[in-house]
Amino acid sequence: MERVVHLTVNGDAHSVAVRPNVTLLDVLREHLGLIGTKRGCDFGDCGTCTVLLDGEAVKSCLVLAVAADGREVTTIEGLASDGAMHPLQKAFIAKGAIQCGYCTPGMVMAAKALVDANPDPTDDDIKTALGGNLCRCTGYTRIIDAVGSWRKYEGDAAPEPDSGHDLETHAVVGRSVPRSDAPAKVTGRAVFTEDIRLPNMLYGKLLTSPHAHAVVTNIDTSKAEALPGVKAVITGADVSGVRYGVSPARYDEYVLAKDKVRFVGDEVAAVAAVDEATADEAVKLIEVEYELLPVLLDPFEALADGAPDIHEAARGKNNVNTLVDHHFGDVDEGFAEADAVFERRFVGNFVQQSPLEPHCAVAQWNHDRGTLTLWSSTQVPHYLQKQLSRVFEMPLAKFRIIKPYVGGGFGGKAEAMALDFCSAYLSRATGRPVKMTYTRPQMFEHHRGRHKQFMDLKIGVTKDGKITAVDFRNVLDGGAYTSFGVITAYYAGFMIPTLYHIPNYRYHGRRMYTNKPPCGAMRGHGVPQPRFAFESLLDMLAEEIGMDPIDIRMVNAMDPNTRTVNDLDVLSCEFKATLDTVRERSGWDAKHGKLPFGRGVGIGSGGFVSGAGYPIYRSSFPHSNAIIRVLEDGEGATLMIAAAEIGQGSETVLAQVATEALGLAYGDVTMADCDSEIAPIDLGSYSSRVTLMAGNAVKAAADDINSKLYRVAARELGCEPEALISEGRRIFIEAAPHVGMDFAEAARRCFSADGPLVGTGCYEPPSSLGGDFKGATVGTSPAFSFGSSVCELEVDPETGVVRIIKFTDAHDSGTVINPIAFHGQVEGSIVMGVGEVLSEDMIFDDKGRILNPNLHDYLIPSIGDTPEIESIAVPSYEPRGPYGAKEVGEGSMVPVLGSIANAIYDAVGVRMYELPITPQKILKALEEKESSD
Amino acid sequence: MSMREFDFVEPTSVSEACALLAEDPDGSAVFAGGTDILVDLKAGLKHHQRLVSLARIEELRAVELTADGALRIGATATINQIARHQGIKERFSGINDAAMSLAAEQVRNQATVAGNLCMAVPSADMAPILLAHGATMRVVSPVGERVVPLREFFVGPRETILEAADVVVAIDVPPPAPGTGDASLRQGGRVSLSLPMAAVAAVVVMEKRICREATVTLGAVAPTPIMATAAGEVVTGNELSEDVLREAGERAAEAAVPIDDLRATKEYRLELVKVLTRRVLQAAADRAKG
Ligand SMILES: Cc1cc2nc3c(=O)[nH]c(=O)nc-3n(C[C@H](O)[C@H](O)[C@H](O)COP(=O)(O)OP(=O)(O)OC[C@H]3O[C@@H](n4cnc5c(N)ncnc54)[C@H](O)[C@@H]3O)c2cc1C
Ligand code: FES
Ligand code: FES
Repeated sequence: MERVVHLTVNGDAHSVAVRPNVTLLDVLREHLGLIGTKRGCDFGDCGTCTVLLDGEAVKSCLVLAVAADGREVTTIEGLASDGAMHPLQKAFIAKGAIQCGYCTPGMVMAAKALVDANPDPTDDDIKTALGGNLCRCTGYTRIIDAVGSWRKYEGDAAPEPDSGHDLETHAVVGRSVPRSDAPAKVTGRAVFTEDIRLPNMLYGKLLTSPHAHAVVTNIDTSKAEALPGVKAVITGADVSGVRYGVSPARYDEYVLAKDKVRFVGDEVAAVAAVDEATADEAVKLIEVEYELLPVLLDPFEALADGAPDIHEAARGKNNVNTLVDHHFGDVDEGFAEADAVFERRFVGNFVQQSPLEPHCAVAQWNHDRGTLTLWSSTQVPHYLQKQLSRVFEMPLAKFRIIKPYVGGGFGGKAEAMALDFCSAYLSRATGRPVKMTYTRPQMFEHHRGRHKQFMDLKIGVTKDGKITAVDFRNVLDGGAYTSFGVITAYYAGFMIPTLYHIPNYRYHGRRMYTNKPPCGAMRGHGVPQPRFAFESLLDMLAEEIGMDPIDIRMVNAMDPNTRTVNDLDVLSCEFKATLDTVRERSGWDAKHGKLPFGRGVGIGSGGFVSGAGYPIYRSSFPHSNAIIRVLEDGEGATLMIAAAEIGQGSETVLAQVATEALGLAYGDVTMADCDSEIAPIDLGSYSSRVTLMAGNAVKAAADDINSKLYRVAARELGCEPEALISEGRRIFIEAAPHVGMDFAEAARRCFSADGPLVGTGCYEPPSSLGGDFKGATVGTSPAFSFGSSVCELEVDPETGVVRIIKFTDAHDSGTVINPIAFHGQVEGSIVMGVGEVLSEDMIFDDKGRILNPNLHDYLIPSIGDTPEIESIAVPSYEPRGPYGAKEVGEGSMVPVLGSIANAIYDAVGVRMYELPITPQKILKALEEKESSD
Repeated sequence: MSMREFDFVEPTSVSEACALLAEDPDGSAVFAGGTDILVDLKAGLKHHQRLVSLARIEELRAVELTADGALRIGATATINQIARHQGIKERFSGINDAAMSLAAEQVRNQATVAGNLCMAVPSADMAPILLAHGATMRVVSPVGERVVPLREFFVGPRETILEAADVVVAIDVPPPAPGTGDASLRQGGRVSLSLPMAAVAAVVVMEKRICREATVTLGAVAPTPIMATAAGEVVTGNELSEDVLREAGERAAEAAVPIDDLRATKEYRLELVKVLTRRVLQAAADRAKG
């Protein structure tokens, strides 16, 4: 029975008729259109739905609307008064406390409740007050800083970021300009896919398999179809026979199961209905009969002779999905030269990206034109468009992909997903727009997170610490489908020789199909776990030969301008500088091996590609393509590029590159929406490619504009075009700066004479990358990043609990285009890494069901778990990058794992071989050590 | 997550609440802060036809510290009402410890102490310390009012002695004897927003360095929050030497009957009980001195 609820929301009186089972969050978002309040989990765990109820912070997903009757609600939209931001909001912008922005409204509201009660909070007060708000991007440090300094932003002053780390070499590049999207995100105006409501829209829901391995023998949808409000039901029989996926050699997923289901969560059917409740109800009415098959959860069981095939045998013998077998040099000879050789097994964990924004797609099929418009929370609009075109067997042009703001991805949104296809089918069937969103448990089932790797690693060193050989045998638990797994299996091994000189290297990797959710690409793609193993074993060898851990890394560290043993091309490399820097800044020499029992420091190093050298599917198109259009009055320009901003700040960085190259002032260049109808193909946000590749394309487009302007200006100024440069909104003769003209004037003349002033640019990696053996293309990149982290921590020897005290991190990222964004990536990586090492793991029962598919029991770090972080960018210049830039977003994750494991060893003398390193494992190791001592 | 339909009623007196519950005892449930109930309803673990909210019953909201030092917590008093109460911080620091360890700020603003106990999950954060203080529950039913010691309140996981039309109206904590100190400690998987793997609370009465009385209670290591009576006995009449504390820890672990689950193994929980018992006793004793 509906009841009228009276609420005062942001000062306005509202009367809303609702049923008692509707939450305040539903009312705010669905009835009042206040989409600034986000739904990250709907179970009270994430805090994105935080609002003030009579002045107190509550999670609106856990408040019934009827229980809020007569009360006063403040949402993020009500915080700015008369358009002027609250000082907290300005502080969030200035301090760089915003990345994807999905946690931001809830975070700001929780902070508002705090500062109202306690205007001068300490860091501990802040950690207590914001303990219920998770953030996956920032690592929290800048949020703490923003809340702690909010009073500095009282008054009219605009939020100016600290410029302490700025480079002085350029006007815009190297400067901590505020993110272009920060004001929209901090005021709740930013529209994410879930926030879209189209007229006449339907809501879609998926039915997924409760069984890990079964044949679907019958599906009866009649009851669901008969439910009033249900508009369409689709099953495997209604979808394309074309399989999709990531790697062309392994397209192995149907939109909906046609034959078998292969993991708990495999998609079986989908419905569209007038509202979510009806769709939920309809899903329950679909009757599916399954014939159960043996379930393979252990990759070694899957590998055993006689194990049943999860896919038809042609796709992999003994369930081997990908096999990599590489041998460079001669490892046997190498080990023979070694003075110390260690071999150990290390085991990783199932880590899930867990962005705060759930995956979502909104599809609108236009039957008049035969086209689909799809809004999707995707990192890779182009690959999504490509897969739609394959599956529906229609040209690319029929699919318009729009990427609204994306609330974090970390690799989990880097491929086309069931929601994209199903919403499209349902929209086509009904002629109405359809929105589909994963619930938090479905996000875990969809997974595409880290592979759990079983790593047998053997390293040999001379008594001087020189690595003579490395042998790495790896089994990756890949789950039921391939996803990015081919690449993961290669990356896991291929990145090992990029960090250190390794004369002899063998890698044998097998990615296994199992009846678990498919694993895919996650921040650091395949590399963090092997690097954890490598950095741990290297420390063990250092101890064996009596060498300092940083010294042994120095002895072997990669040098600039090297072709590695596996034919990777390293140009810029300041790895040694990162080691020197963290050694000095962390106080390493006074601490390592010298701190009291229970406290320790550890070093870890690592790096990553700056974009993959080759696209995922064979294509001759440049990887990044940009268009810049200067307006007819010459006062501003629009940058059109489909590189996907997912929270990392790439829009801001690309706008900086364009602005710098055009010689304009920050703010003169605006970003067009990420819409395939506006911007040409760009491969998107994965493999840390955007700054280098899209940055180069943008710079080329700006240069194209400049060359047009210089021609016009040269005629006017009576010089050669080559004599001109553009700076400070002026075009002038470099040798005689007073001779010049306004940029706008030149642009107007150009436009008047020739029509639209448009510049285009593209980027294609050098064709020389990689060797000529099988799989040689996979790990290639125009440039590699390098970094080192020193972790200082405490282990409670009685409980095994680890408290991270401080991280000192140095990263070689080439030229840093935006220092605040750079440090934000490092801090976010470190805290994500802390979770990965200490607490995160998807746990399965013996039927293949995830026991912790929620943010309640899958423990990503909370604000109180954040350590102090000092992040340093070492000076570096990458000749292949725009203004010398390369990556930071993923590489900064890689050193974290080893540094923590090594610090634990330094603190209490136990070597941990298995992730996550939970207190109970540490305690057990301590007991074993005691009984063996 | 859409919830099934239910009716929501907001009586303004306890008797009205009881009457409403009695109308449909199987289909109704008391609704306090809703932080447990809504999670269960969303997950489809429970289906209630009717939720009887206590929010509009004014007299249930109060938290009172009486002159003789007793504490009364009204049924709709929130965790944060307790956590922010200066008098409780001073006189029942252990209750403050427990309140501050529960979930996170927004949940503490909404969740009630009574709801935490009535939900009766083994890991309920407020249970061990209130148990250790010898708290009692005032329960009203359509036929009258009764007082139930918290010690007799829990029956099993998510199960209490409450009948369908019972409403807990208050939790009473008796005045602590002179020289009392209390503390509550727990270990979760992250700093905030995590359920405890084990929890231990202690109330001690100190006379100089000698412990005259000690009560130790445990959470998350048995089907219900439990007393570890033997652990208290070890300490009683003694100084809190390392040996005594260690012995108390061993006794507490003997009382525990933990299970393996996704949060921790049985063995680890037992180790935690030992360590936390030592520490919580020491903390309680230190507070008694100070
Ligand atoms: C994100 C999240 C994190 C959490 N973390 C923790 C944690 O760390 N530690 C912890 O202990 N708990 C935790 N909880 C659980 C929960 O918040 C507490 O148990 C809370 O105290 C319950 O109180 P409530 O008022 O919300 O209860 P409700 O949900 O309203 O009720 C809970 C149960 O008690 C019954 N009930 C409530 N009041 C009465 C009464 N007066 N008389 C009779 N029956 C009654 C209800 O019928 C229901 O069965 C968490 C919950 C969430 C959502
Ligand atoms: S959506 Fe409410 S806490 Fe996550
Ligand atoms: S900025 Fe906090 S979740 Fe992305």
